[in-house]
Amino acid sequence: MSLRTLLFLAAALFVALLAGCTASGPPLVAVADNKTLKAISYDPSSGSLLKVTQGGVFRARDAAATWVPLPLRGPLPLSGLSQVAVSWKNPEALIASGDGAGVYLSSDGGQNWTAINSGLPSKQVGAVTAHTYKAGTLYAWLEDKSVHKTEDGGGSWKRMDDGPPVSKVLALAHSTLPGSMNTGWLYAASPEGLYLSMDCF
Amino acid sequence: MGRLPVTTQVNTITVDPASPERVYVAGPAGVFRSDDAGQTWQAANGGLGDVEIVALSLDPARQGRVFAGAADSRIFESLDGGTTWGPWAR
Repeated sequence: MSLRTLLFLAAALFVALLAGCTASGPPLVAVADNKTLKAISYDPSSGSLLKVTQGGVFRARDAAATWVPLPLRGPLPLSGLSQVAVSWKNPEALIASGDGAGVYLSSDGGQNWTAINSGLPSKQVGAVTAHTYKAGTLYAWLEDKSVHKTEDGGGSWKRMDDGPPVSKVLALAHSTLPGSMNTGWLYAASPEGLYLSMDCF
Repeated sequence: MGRLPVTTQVNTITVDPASPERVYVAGPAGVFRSDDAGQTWQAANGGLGDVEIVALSLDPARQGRVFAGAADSRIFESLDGGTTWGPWAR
C-alpha cells in the first residue's frame, strides 16, 4: 500500500469520525448485559426473581416474563455488583453489593437506592446477607477479610470478626438454627469450603 | 468460624428460614442439600446435568421450592427440595 493511499484512508477515517461526533441522534445508552449471572434472590412479596449480572440488577415477575432492569435512581452503579438479597422480614428491602461498589439498600422494592457504607473500611464488599427476622440487621464480608454488621439498616457498621480463614467469601447466609448464644448463625461459602459461626462472633 | 464437612468450593448457599436445619449449597461439584445444618449432605442435581450453579435462592413460603442460577443466566426451579430440577426462565 502506497503512502498516498495510506494518507487518503487516514483522511477518510478522520472525516468519518468527525461526522460521527457531530451527527445528531439519540443519546448513547448502555446496553444492559443480562447475562453472566452473579446472584439471584427470590422476592416473596411479588413472587418475582431478582438477579445480578454484569449489567446490573434485573427482575422477572414469572418464568414467562422478561428480565426488566431496575431503575438506576440514586448511586446504584450499572456494573460492578455481585450480590442481591431480599430481606425475609421486610421484602421491600433489597440489598445489593459488589467488590469496589460497596453496599446499597432499597426500601421500596428496588425503585430507589441509597449507599450504606458508613463505618465500613472500604467498598471491597465480597458478600452480604440479611438477618432472617431482624429488619435492618445486615452482615457484610469485606475483601480485607473481616465481617461487619449493621443493626440500623446500614446507618452504621461495626467490625465483628475476621471471618473464616479462607481466600475469599463467595456468599453469606443467616440461619435461626438453635444453639446460638445470640440470635442465630452465619454461614460463609468459600473456595475452601463451608463455614459456620454464631452471629454474635 | 467453624468449618463444616465441606472442603470443596462452595459458590453459594441458601437456608430455609422455616426449617433452618435445611441448607442448600452449590459449587463445581453440583448442588447439595443438608437436612441437619450441614453435618451430612446429599446430592440434589436431578435434571441439572453438568451445569455449574453459581446462585441459589428459595421461596420461604413454600418448602422445597428452590431456584438455581447458572453463570450463563439460565434459571432452574425445583419443587421437591432439589431432588428434580427443570428450567424456570426461557
